[in-house]
Amino acid sequence: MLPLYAALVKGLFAEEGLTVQGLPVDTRGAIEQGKTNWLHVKTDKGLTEADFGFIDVDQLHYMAAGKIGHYIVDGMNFGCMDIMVPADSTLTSAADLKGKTVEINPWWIEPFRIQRGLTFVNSELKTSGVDAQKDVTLRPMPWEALPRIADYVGDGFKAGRFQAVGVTEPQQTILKERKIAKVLFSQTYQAPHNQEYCCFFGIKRELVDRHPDKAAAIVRAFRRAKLWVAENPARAVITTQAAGYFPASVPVQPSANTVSALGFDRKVDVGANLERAFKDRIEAGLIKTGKSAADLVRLHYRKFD
Amino acid sequence: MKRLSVGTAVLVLALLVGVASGGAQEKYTVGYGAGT
Repeated sequence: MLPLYAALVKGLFAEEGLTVQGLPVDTRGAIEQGKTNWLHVKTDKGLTEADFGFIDVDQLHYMAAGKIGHYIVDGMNFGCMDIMVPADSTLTSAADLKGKTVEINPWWIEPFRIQRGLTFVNSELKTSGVDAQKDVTLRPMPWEALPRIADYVGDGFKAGRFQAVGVTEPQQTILKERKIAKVLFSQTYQAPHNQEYCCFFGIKRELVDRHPDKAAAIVRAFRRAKLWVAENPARAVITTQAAGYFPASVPVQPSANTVSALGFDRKVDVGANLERAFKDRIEAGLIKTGKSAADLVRLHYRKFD
Repeated sequence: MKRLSVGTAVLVLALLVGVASGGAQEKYTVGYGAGT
């Protein structure tokens, strides 16, 4: 999310002549109200869709079904999630999770996401001969645990309520700094998980179709923000913390190291990357469609040079 | 009745044209999550 924060803090949208209001998404509200994507923000009209923002790779099932009102127009980050075990755990591989309970972030569940535990966890476990849906208990942690994630995870490990957790940055950074947990396997640091965009960047279809000049300006500002964050990770963390976007309690240098690993400046053919993501999920039976992955890219991706 | 000056008339006309053409700048929203 750092590029979105940075674009707002540094006035990059304004430099493109755009007036943009940043709003935090209401993930819990979106899930509880059965929404199909993450870009739901609270307004005085209730939960409404933001004009642009992040589109998650594990919501491509809804995109393939024509239920997401945004086009994908760029990529954002590679990875940001990990499976972690206690810092002193003897578990060393995904295979060791067989028969264990893994508490996952409350938004790692179907149907909001394509499958419980997300693609990278299911894929990593499958490679190790473990069926994530049958051999492992993947249980969402309570929403109330999130503001005190370190204490919640530490207490849960000690009490034996779960043996691993599925978490999203900056939670890992906090858990590592507090020496509560270590990474068992990673979407950020391990291929092939870190070869596909974890989040893309999307803009409402109507805006792209009717005002392509405005959409192009949004994409330019976003790309400048991505590059600035990639080239100045520590400054990006400090600046966005000072502005209140990124939690001030998260240590700067470890966060900057994570930012460097998210590939904000990676040069990738976004259309090809998206096609691979569709293809993998069609072949895994997670997206049921009569269309090819290439067809889906033509329908849902718009390229901006 | 008091007459409008030329300058005032031009200003009023410009405002009317601006409103009619949707001259107010569009405001967009960006949704962001809580992550890194």
